Amino acid sequence: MAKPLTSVIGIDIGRYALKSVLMQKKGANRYVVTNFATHIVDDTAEQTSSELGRNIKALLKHMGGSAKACAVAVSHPDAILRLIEQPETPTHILRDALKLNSTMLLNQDCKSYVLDCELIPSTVPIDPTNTRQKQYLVAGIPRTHVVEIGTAFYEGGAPPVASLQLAPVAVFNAFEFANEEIFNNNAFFLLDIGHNGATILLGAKRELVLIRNVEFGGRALIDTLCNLSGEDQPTVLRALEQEDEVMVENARMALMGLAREIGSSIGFFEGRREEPIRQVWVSGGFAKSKTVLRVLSEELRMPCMAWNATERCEINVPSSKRNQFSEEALDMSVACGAATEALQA
Amino acid sequence: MALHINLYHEIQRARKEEQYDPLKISLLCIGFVGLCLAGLYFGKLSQTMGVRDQYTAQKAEISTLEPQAAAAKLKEAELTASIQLADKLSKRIEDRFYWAPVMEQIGLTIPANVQITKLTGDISVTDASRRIGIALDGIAAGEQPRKVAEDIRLALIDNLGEKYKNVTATFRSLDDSTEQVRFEGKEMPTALFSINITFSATAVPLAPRTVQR
Repeated sequence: MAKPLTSVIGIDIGRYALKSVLMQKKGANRYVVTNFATHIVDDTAEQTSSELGRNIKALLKHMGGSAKACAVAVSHPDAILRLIEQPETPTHILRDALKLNSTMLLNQDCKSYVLDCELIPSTVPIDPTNTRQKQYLVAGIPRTHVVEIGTAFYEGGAPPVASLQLAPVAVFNAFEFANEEIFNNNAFFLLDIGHNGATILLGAKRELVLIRNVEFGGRALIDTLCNLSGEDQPTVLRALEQEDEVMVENARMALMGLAREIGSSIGFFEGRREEPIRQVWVSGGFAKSKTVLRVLSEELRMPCMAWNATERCEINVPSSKRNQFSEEALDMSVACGAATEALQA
Repeated sequence: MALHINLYHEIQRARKEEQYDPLKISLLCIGFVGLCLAGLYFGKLSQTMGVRDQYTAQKAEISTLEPQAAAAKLKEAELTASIQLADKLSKRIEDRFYWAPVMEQIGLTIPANVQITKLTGDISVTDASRRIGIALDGIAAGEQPRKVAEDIRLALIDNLGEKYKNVTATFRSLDDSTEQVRFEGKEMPTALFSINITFSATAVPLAPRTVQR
């Protein structure tokens, strides 16, 4: 049995930026964030392993500090994230079954994918007539991408990779870590707004009920706002920050599609479970924008709140970076989720 | 409990398998055993070489010492012969027979009326001991000259018996003589006698003396 990690670097490999947090476990329930960094990447250029290695090297250099391992969370357009129902099976056997018989289990040929699965703890039986049926979360990304990431970390001189996670699962884990009481006792709706797309996660009392990817991210919102206003990106962002009426209306129009998707997801959830969704927990780059949160709240007619994944952690970052961290903490949920999962393993 | 998904498991397992590859481990073990055996071989080889070198050195030393040893052997034989000769000589000297005390005893034993005309002595060596033989011829004068001769014989046995072992004295001849001799103003008849005295050359050990204070 491997020795449990006491310090780990959580890294979020996004399309627009690489984010990292250095988290240490000081006791049974005491976590400290000592370093963090964000490194913007050129999203127009193709991400080769050497390019990614260079970016990781720059990110770790900017962050400072060191740890025994890295926990990586990645989002990929071809990533698979499914909930499947199976008779109770040990996960290592199911993993092999998925690898050998993915066409049957996932209705998709996944020979070129690396797959992993995990039993989802369920409070409500899926099929009341068959209590042996369990729900499993299956995640996968193309093997070439896994190899690229491994090579990039090796070339970037980073500590060894302890785990490779999908960004939505990392967000789910981060929410469990940050808001344990809500996670354990209530239904919750998580919205992670990324650069290219948003992820919707619906859960209730520890159980992951629904995962959806929506093709609407920060880039689409900015592009729409720029097109509607005819202004450039900095002007649009400044106007949005100043709650310019025209820009707010433009944002409302831009976010309409996303709000509709959220509404339909909530409807789906509430139709299946007798638990209401009372608020939406927003993370990602645009969780920092109060205007976006207000517009979404108005559109959904329920509060949309940003949540901070490092809420339970002691913040021990250098004093010069403390203000920057409080601004960027809302965007660190994926990196924090990856790190906490590795520390809790 | 967080959802533990690890998409890096294939690479981790491949690395672990590579790390704990049975072929690699067995090759390492074989290599280690081979190294041990090679070490043992070279150790034994150096040991053998050392013994061989020692043997060669000793052989060379022997080849240089051998003529010296032969010469020493010859010298030893020579010296042994010399020592034996010296021993013989010293033994001979040490075992020589002293005639003077015998002559002294005989001189003391012979009275004035007896005249020794001939005295010969020789030593006969047998395996066990040496015997001294003395032939004594003389003329005894007295009223009874034969008795005088007999007294001399007995006196010789007594006197010599004090010093020597196995003393015998026998007459070879004892004849009356026609000649008359004057002794102390008187004419006395004489008798011719020949006595053979034999005794062992070994002297009788002297009785321990008592010291008087």
